[in-house]
Amino acid sequence: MSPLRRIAAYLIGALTLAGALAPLVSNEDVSIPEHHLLHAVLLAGAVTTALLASPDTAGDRNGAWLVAVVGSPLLVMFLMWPSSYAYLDAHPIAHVGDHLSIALLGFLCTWSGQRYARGIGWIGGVATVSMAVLAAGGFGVVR
Amino acid sequence: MTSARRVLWIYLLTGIAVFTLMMLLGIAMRAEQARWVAFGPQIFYAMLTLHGGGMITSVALCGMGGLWYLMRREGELSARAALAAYALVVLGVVAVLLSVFPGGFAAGWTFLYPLPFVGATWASWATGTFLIGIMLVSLGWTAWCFQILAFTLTRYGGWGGASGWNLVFKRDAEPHAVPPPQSIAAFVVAVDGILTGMAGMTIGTALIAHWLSPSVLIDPLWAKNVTFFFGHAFANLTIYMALGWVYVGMARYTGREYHTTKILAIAWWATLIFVAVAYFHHLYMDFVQYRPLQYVGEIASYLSAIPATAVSVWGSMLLVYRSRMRWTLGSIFLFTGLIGWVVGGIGALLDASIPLNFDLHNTLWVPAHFHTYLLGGVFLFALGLIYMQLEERSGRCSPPLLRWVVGLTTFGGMAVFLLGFYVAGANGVPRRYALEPSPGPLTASWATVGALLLLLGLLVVLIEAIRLARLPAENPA
Amino acid sequence: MAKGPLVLPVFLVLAAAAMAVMLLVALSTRLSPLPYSQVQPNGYKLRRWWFVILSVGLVAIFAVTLPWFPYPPLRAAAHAAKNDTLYVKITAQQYGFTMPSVLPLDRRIVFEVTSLDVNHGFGIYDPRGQIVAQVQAMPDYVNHLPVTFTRAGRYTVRCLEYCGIGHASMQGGFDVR
Ligand code: HEM
Ligand SMILES: [Cu+2]
Repeated sequence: MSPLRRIAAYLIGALTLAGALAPLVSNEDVSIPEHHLLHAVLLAGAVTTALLASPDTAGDRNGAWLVAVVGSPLLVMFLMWPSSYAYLDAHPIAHVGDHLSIALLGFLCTWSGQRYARGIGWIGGVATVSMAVLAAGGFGVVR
Repeated sequence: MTSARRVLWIYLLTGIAVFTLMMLLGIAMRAEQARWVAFGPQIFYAMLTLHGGGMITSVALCGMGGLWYLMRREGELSARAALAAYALVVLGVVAVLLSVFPGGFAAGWTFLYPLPFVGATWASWATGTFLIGIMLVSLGWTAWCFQILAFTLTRYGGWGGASGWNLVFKRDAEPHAVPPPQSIAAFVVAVDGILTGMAGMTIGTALIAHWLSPSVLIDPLWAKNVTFFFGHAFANLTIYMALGWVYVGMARYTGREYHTTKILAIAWWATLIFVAVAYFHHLYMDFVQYRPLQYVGEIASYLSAIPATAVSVWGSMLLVYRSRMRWTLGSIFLFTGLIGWVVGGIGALLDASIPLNFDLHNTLWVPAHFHTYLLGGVFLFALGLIYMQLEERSGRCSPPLLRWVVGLTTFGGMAVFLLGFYVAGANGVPRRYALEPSPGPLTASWATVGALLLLLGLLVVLIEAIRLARLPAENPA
Repeated sequence: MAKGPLVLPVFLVLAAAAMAVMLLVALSTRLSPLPYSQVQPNGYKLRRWWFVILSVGLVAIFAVTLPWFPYPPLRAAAHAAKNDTLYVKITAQQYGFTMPSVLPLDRRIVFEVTSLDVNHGFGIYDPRGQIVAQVQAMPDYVNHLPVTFTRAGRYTVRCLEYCGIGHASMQGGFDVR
């Protein structure tokens, strides 16, 4: 791993973590779609970190990696349950926990993908971010 | 260690078993529309829900098994992972089955929000079980796609190699590193499949969220887009999976070679995009949909005819033209499958024209064209694969008389059955009507006769398959 | 105008042509076989033509048929400019429609279609029983469907989106005069 890549990984990883902690300092009301999109940004950070940090090995076809790639995006979706957002906005600690789990799952999906076979992390990561962006389109609306 | 052939047959036999059940439901529905029997709307729509989802899944299972087997012949693939994906899909099918019978879930396999939750004549648990079933199918499907994609990426040197990019843009692509046509198909199916599976999980989670906490509301237009993106692409990909072995089979039966060319690779990239965006044609009659998307839908639907006809069909026709083709049941099924695909495609192109769709949307024209390429295309491809395996293993094929019997009953019955849909659709008979306005009941009567003839033909096909399977193996695995 | 009945012969002719070509290819295997190296170059040349004709043809059909797209004009101003347009509210609900019983002949009508519960379809059948117009009826959204009736008589409205087990019985109608 080149030093530049290592630095970038640490930097983006740190930024993502800082982003996850945001509810501690600010509890502005955001709409549900905005909230989904903020999660998408968080996921993008986690995915990028995982892509930068994952080793350049050829990959090993262990079934556990596959389970992680397929399962994590689904769990992410369940952490973006809109009716929980009101509660989370009122409870910063729980909110940070929610964010950390989302970021961790995004990281896990991408990292496991890269370990399973090089290149898989890319599409797994992009798909996870896309799901969060997609959710902003209509998962949880106020009438 | 499970052998590759074992995995193939597990997928194929399950697919055929599900197909058989669903065909019986299909005939029952058509007979109800012909007013020969009267199950009543509750049972009719429960059958419709199960038939739609079950049939698509049955051909998807055949496709997954077939394409996995082809890839397995090119390198190392885990049978355990394939069986895990299979188990998830089958579990999903069982959940859907339970939700429909005895659960009574009848919101259609397209489960358009908010229908599953409003005016339901079924229990809430049935809705939940159905949604979980859909989710399990998505999960299994996605796992299969990731496995296949991982395989082609490692086997052919990453994204550039597996997609054919290196072949098209790099002069020094080594011939042995160029994926064969079926692997290009597998790559495209896997990429689109992952996107599809993710969309399925997104809409699935959203609906499950609404099911568990009704205060979570969903935008109905968004739900329609995501649901149809998932449903359309999943159904569409079953055809593209089957093309993998159509390429292989055509080359084998004609004794000619089919290679990956630059044109073939580019055609599959086009397909990758068209499969993802053609679904907008399902929303033509939603006038509030962002207008440019309607145009994208029509153009993508139109243009998907180019890679299909100019590459896959054209290539197959060239292989056959004045070759020493061996006409066995296997090759006949593959060839007629291509005919069904093209004819259904013509029906689809007409329906994809927005001015015509204005008169055809949600009429029986829709089941008319998709049954043509799903029943008369993908399903025949699946039979082709099965017979190809049986003929290869036993070194025998079926006598000519039997081919004629199968041809007349199966293809004749199919044609009559399909024409019933087309004629009714052109005359405005709505789809998904338990009780149809005129001329629905009349066309449904012919169609039922056709479907029964088809059933008879498929029975012969089944018996002949069992006969071939019991012959001593001349070419053991 | 109902285009449905026109579609069937067009389809049958195209389908028969495609089938004939493919069956001829199948029959060609009865002739003396040719080496593939002789078939392929000609086949590829012919394919180039097919590619050009099909691409140009399909894009041309899209462009030429644009005026027949049923969508209302995007700009509200264009809407309002047509002063004599009659706006008619349609509400769909499991399993029926709320709408007027009489509508005018030869006058531009814009149906404002929505639903109170699930997705429905608002499909208009002319007195001969052919579909002349349709649009989806969606909860939370209003679809605008412009129509001008040029034939007097009894029109039937049928639901054209699956909406539950009463779907097939969901219909209504109006007189045009
Ligand atoms: C074997 C003979 C078959 C028969 C007799 C049959 C019959 C039917 C009938 C009567 C309908 C309802 C049409 C309507 O009124 O809307 C239907 C719908 C459908 N069929 Fe089939 N079908 C057959 C094969 C297939 C195959 C092979 C597939 C796919 C691989 C398939 C997929 C579907 C789908 C997706 C629907 C739409 C369900 C819905 O509207 O929600 N069918 N079929
Ligand atoms: Cu309805």
